[in-house]
Amino acid sequence: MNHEDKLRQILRAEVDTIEPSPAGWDRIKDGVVVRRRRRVWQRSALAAATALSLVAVIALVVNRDDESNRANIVPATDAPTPEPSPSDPAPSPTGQSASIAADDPLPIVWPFSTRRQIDQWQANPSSHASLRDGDTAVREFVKTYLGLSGVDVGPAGAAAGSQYYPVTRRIVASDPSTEITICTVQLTQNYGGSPSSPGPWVVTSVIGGEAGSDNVLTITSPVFDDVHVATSPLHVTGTVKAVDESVRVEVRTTDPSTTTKGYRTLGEAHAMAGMEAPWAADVTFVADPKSVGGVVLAGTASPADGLPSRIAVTPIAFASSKTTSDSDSSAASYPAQFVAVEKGRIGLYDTKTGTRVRYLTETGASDPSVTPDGAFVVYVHMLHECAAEIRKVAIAGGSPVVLEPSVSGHVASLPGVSKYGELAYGLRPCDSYETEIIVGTQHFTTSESLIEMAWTPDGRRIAALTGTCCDGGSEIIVISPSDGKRSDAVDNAPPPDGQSCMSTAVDYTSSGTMVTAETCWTEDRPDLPRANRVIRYDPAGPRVLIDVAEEIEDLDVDRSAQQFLVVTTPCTNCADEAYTVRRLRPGSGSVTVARGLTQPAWAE
Amino acid sequence: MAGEAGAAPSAGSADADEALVGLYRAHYRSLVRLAALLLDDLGSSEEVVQDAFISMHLGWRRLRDPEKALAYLRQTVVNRSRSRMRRRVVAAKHEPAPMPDAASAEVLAMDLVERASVIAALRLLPDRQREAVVLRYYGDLSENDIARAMGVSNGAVKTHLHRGLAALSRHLEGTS
Repeated sequence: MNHEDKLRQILRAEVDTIEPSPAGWDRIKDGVVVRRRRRVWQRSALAAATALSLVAVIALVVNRDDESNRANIVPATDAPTPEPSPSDPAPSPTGQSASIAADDPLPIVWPFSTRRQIDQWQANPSSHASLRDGDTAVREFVKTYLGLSGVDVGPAGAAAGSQYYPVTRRIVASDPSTEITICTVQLTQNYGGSPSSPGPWVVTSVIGGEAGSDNVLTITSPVFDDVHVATSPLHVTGTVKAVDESVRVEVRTTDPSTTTKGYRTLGEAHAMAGMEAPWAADVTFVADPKSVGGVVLAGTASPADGLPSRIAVTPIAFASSKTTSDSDSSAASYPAQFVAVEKGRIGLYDTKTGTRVRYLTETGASDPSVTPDGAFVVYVHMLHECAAEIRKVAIAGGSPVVLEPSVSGHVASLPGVSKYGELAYGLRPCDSYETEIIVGTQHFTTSESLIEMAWTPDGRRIAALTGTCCDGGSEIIVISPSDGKRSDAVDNAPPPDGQSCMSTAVDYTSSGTMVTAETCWTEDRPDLPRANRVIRYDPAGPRVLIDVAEEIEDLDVDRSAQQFLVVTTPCTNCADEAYTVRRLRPGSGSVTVARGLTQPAWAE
Repeated sequence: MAGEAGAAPSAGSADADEALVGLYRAHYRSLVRLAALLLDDLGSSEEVVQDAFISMHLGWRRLRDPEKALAYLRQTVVNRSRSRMRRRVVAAKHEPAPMPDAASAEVLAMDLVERASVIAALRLLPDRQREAVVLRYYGDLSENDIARAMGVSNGAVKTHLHRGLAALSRHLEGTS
């Protein structure tokens, strides 16, 4: 018997007697129901409880209407304040109180639909091992009611009169292909007077970010280390659409000085059924995690029956990022800061002076990219020569979070996050240059090494620059993760006469136009200097924007598409000191920003 | 799924429910067995497959085809198994495989210690090689189907199979 047949026989003998438990079918059914039930909004009784520092968008139902604090920012209708319904649906965690159609625009995840369900969960000793064991309570809650495993629980924090266990910024279902389950949950326990007599756990949801057109909710961060805190005060705006019934939405900020409610109302909006309503508020964030602060956007109950009504959340806009400009008043502004790699660490640098503001990571970091919201840097952290994690750290400062753990025998590279929070990165075996591009559960193989990757601003495609860098060819392919399609290689701009060119960097402008850097040489004349240029692939055809003396190794385009941050080097494999970060503007030449840095990216 | 208290399933969800039942009956057992070879404990294997079915149901409106659904299930099982293996800090207790109730004479005649050696070597293979080997020699999938389940090219499948089989051959020689 040959080896293959023998192996077949062994594998079958090993597992063919396994009979799955019949309880598996029940678990599948329960899981389906939990997933359906997630698309129901939660009543706001939770918000009225302890409600610590929350940020951006939340679906909590408001029961109180404080006229004195209402900011008359948006016109309000005269929708009556609903009375709670006396007949709550059956309070079973596996029950379902609303019919949800598959295409309903409801991206937010929340398990409870009535106050009674919350009370029952909190009173049920089997809901968590101990009223004092917040870690277990969080994990059990998330596992039971959100059906998610692999939850990261943040360290216990404390605020006046309570303790809380925030779940870290992202809960990602163990199947990354799940679209909707991205939220942060916080369990809060009131002391009820003293730490020795804690009250029941109260569940609040902390959901920040934006809902994309395909109902993927992107999370920013919990308020404690939210970058927006650093740029407070902010003017925050958004819209809310009432899906099936009219709703009232209230914007609040938590305020520990108000002993009665714990929050202040900043503004509200009313949306009639099927219609959208804008809301806006001026918010001052509080940076101290031991003192609470932040923004709560509360979705209300339907005026008809007081039950949670579904709303669709649209992106929340914060104040625009800071910019600076040259002293010449005719010059365009450019982002005030950028990130780059310096001697194995990622730092934040001042664009005007080139000086380092601070380090963002420890050593072993590389391949930084800035998230579309400008708040985080996603990067590779080498654990050792054949193990690398993908991490994320806030530009405002804070501890890094592991987004993807290391894969045995492989090295990760070039992580990038799309507008929708989708992570793409390269992964190759340590002993091979053949890199796979991974986006969620999808894998796209390349037969070459991966030099650079860039998401389109609409988050629908990725450009991957592949090739045996600098001594062979390279090509740019564009991948569409949604349908798994891959384009043919992008045709390079026509090379200068008698020369050959290859791409060395790629990025997209905010309008979705591809920009590349190329180096061109004369065949059989390596002694001649190379021509280096930046090409923009306009719809009418590629257009050379800038010619540069040295080879461009990295390229990042700012949102205005007028400032290009590049790294140039006089030779391949030069020492770090030979690398120069330059700011290029078509028609204005280049400005040297800093030396000895690589892989720069605008921090905007 | 249909008939839950208070629920009025739409036509779309009724399709998904029916598909779920059919796929469960036809493929659940084999997928659990496949997962048991990728992981090393039955509990995790069942959970991984159950989660895959739940996820498939959720995405039914995009699939709408039992063949696509089966491919999706396989791919999800492979990916989730890989994620599980990565997240393990300490190797779980390995329960010995149960003895068959009615083993064939050929199975009984096999040296169980040497068989265990092959399985142990399988567990030590890099994830991609183990997946390719299991999908090919247990699942009997074609190269194309393996590529789809693993999300790699056909060329990569060949490489992983070649390397995986080479790594196991020393142990297989002992069982010939």
